[in-house]
Amino acid sequence: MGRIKKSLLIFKFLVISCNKPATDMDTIVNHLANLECTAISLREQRFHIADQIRFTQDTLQHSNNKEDSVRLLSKLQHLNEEKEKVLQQTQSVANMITVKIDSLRQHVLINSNKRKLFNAALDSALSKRGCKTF
Amino acid sequence: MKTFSSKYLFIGAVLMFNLVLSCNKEDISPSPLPSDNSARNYSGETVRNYFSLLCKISKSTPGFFPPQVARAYGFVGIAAYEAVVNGIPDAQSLGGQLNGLSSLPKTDPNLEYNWGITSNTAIAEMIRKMFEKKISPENLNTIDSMETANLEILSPGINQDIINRSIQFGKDITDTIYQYSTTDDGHESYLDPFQLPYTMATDSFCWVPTGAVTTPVSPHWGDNRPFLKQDVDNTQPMAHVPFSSVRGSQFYEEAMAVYTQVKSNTFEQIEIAKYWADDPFNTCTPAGHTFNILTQLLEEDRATLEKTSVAYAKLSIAENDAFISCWKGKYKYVLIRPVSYINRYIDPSFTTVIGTPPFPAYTSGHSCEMGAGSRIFTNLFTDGSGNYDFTDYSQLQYGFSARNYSNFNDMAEECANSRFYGGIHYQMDNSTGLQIGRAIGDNINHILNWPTDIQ
Repeated sequence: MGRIKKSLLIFKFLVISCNKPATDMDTIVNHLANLECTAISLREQRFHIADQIRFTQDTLQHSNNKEDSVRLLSKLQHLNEEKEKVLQQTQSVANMITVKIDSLRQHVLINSNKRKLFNAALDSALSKRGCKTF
Repeated sequence: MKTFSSKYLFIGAVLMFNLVLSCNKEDISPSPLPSDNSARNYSGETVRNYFSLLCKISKSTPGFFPPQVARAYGFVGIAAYEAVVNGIPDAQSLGGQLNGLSSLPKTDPNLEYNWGITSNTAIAEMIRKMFEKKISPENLNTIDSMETANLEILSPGINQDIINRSIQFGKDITDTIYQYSTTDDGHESYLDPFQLPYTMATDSFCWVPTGAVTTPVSPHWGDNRPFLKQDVDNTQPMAHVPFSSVRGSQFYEEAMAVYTQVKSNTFEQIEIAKYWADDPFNTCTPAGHTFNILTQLLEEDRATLEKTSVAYAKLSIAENDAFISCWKGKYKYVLIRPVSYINRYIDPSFTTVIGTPPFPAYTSGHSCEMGAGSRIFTNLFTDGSGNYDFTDYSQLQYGFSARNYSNFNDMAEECANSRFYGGIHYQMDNSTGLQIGRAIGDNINHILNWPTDIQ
């Protein structure tokens, strides 16, 4: 019987190991939520810069004043430099999120129910951090 | 007691063995050659990885606007399918089916091929050719590395003759399809995406620049050869509402609807507008977004090489033709964008939620392409109803929330509406665009001969 108990223990261990991604859901979700908050902040910066660029370009197109034009061109140059910085940060965070999601797809996001549970958990984690978009 | 114990030990051992197997369950192994050497016994993962890479390359290669991106995906998708078509039961080559494509190299039925390798070679080679003149050394290196790594995974246990023959067949397919691509009038269009010189008419209904880009993108794209002639000939839109600047006219009301919508957008509507616009600096265009969704659906489905190749081929033809048909209409009507009309006749201080792209309004490119894509998805993943629960995670990496859908048609409607919320399209642009796209998707599903029992 001791051997049976031992076998059952090993079996139980394997069951737990097999389900490990599910038991680690909180850790996974929290890690992804932290990355996602950074990604959301970077996205807001990109849209803000894009708006500033197009409004500055609009103003520049209608500007007849040489001094204004010089100032607007300088502003555009500064905005483009900002854009490049934010884009580099964006790509770095995007790569980390992609790796995480690819890994989750193998072990966690394997069926519709698990995806729904994961989505709800991520939404909740983002809300707690005050960075859920809507 | 001893018998009882042995019996349980045996059962326990079997359970554990099964458990270990199920824990380690991976995609169908591509190597060595399966006993039933058909594409359905290979994993589609390598193909999906290439399509993910295509998005990155499209974003970072100069000259790739939405039509150019759709075209690049288009020819890569066809190469991917033709590389494995002889490994799919009852499948028919697109040679003789696509407009202007007569015949393609065939495999020797008496010899063996590794479909993973034919596919790997054909796709890598076609991506290099589609971006050839402007591809960055970094992107080129990524394609080469991916091709080499895939070959290393696919080759062990395979006879060298089979490997060589499979590589050669992949190259032959790409060479033929590339030659075909050079005659569609979109060849190397990324070198001159604005197709200058082009003179825009100056009537009051005509498009005028809405930003720093003063010439519209690809005005002659509608003259390109589509993969299916019917996709352009039979899908051209009816004339839009007659242009008028008169308050209360039908056209004025179309513009007023955009104005009112933008002024009263909810937070969620603004998010939807930005979500489908992808990103101001960081997008592989609407076609790329739709391919990313397909890649995700195929991954979740653990799709085989057979299903993956058929799926990409269908969407590739759909996206390429959707942009040709849409662009033909755009430059027939050269309709002024809402922001220009509203600034002129309603409110000079009006601004849009997202930047207006530099080409005419009627009809919406997003609506055309997603209308077509939604029909392809419906055909691939549903019983025809379009009902399918899924979450689009493709934009999560760029700080957009994942979005949930239960029907592909609903997703297409949301994509189309997003352009109205964004203030960049009239409602008529979107509703007509969706109709065009859906007709194209239906053509591809029903006019072309596809294998019927895709697994």
